[in-house]
Amino acid sequence: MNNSIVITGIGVVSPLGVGMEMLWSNLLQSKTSLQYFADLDAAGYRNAYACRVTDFDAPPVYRGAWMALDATRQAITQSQIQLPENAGVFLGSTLGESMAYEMAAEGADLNPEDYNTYSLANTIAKAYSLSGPIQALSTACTAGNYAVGAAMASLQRGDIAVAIAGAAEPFSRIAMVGFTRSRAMATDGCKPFDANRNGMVLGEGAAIFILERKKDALQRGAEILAEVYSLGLSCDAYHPTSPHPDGRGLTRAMNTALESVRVNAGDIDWVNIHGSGTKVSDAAEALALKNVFEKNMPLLSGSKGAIGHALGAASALELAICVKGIVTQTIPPTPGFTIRDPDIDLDCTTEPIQKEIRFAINNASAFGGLNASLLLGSCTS
Amino acid sequence: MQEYDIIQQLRLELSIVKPQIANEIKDTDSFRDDWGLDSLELVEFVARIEQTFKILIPDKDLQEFYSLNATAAYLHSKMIAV
Amino acid sequence: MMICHVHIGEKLEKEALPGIAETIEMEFGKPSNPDAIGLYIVSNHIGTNSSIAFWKDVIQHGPAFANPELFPWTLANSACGYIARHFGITGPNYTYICPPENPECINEVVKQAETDRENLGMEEVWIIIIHI
Repeated sequence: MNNSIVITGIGVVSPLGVGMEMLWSNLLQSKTSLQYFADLDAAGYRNAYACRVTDFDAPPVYRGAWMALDATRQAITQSQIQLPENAGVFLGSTLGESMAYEMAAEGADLNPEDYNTYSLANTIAKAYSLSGPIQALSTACTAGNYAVGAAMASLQRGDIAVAIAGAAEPFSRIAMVGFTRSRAMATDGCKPFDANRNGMVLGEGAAIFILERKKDALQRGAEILAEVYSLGLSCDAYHPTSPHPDGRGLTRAMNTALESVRVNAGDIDWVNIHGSGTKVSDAAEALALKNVFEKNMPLLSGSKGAIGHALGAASALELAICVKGIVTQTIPPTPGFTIRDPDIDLDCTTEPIQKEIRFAINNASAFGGLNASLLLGSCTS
Repeated sequence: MQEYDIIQQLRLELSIVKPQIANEIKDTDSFRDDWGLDSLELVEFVARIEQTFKILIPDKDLQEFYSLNATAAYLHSKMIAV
Repeated sequence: MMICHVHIGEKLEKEALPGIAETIEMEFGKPSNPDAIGLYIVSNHIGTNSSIAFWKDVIQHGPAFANPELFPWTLANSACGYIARHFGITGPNYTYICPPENPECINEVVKQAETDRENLGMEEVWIIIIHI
């Protein structure tokens, strides 16, 4: 109990809506935010399809910071918490303000280090006059899970009483060109685990959480949304961009998350898959799921068909979906999944499913062979 | 440009992507099966071809880039078409 | 807990990493049990040189013809991934972005590494601070 860590606030800026309620409502209707963007086409991009937040204005070079600040404000409001001065900030991002690096290459007189992941985290700390620890994690597409795991560890050590944790990733032209030229992008939507999947779709956004010790949350009468149990991490150490094809890294990450808090694989009700929609990544994740769950496969859903792949923010946005699912005891559908792939031999949800969710896992994998599995659940469990 | 000249240029591009194989690879050798060119190296090789030959290669045509001979034949056919 | 300081300078990450791995190997040796090692990279700069070089290639050739070679190196964690592959290290793999001269930031990394050592049974934790 003393070491139980809970989430009491969520803030979201996503391509399917600013605010958790709008994202959730659109997701339950299996909507996708995939759009054709004329500006990308006009600039000569081979792929002009993406999931961008079209109803959020910010100065281009501060887009990530503004998204993070908006999500932080939402999370604090929901949590109704009075932030102590020593609250910690734990933020993940892949590239930080990608625009600054692009401008530096174009000859602008700026220092990109003033716009990196640390600067994003520092912006939040300054906005709320916080003097607590700052951790900025650039662990690519696993960064959201890492940041929440780091916040959990800091709270459990007793370093802080409240953590602002999550991730932010503004739309990145570097990533748009990089993934397209790496032939990893789909133009007809991300289709997690689907037989016809042919790549990822780039997204953007931010998701921020308020974390605190369960006893503190109960004492101040806060509404507890979910409990965070553990984070399992591993590295494939196999290839710069491809996962190990037998899924060993993600297997270890999920098993570590389960074993460190002595939860059985059979007790997991739901896994939000990484499901990037690429052939090799989804195949490796499917093998990892089979390694861990064998014949007790939990329900699987994926969100990147709806909101795209927001890189560093992806696992934070999907954690927000997990938390909302736990609160409403509802597993959302998987936009993009329609045809079972015989090679994967696993199904994803195709409509909202009401069910008791005691434990859920949020999976994330990244370039560099990183794997991060966050185990969370309903606080009554 | 004849196919022989194209192959010489391709060897030059390959020597940048994977220096250890450029001198030894035979024209008919498979990039992947005989020399272990992975997907990342292949897309880099194709990108260099696109930049050098000023040709846009769609994703669906990547499967035709399995050897120097096959790549040269593909590029030669595109040049004739132009 | 082992700490190693290295520099990247103006080199591209893919050019600098082999030398950085060599330095680490000289200081730490080869790990006897790479599955039980946690890796912690600290840098305020890693990924920057490749990001700028990659975008310069995009400017020169256009987005449709840019070479993706440097793209994986634009990601800050590409260095930690390289070092993990070099030594076969499969434990937790962190990339912290923070000024290496900031003692509070380094202290946070040390605490996380210690937590992982205790909770996950890591036999060694390697903290590698990459200066510009």
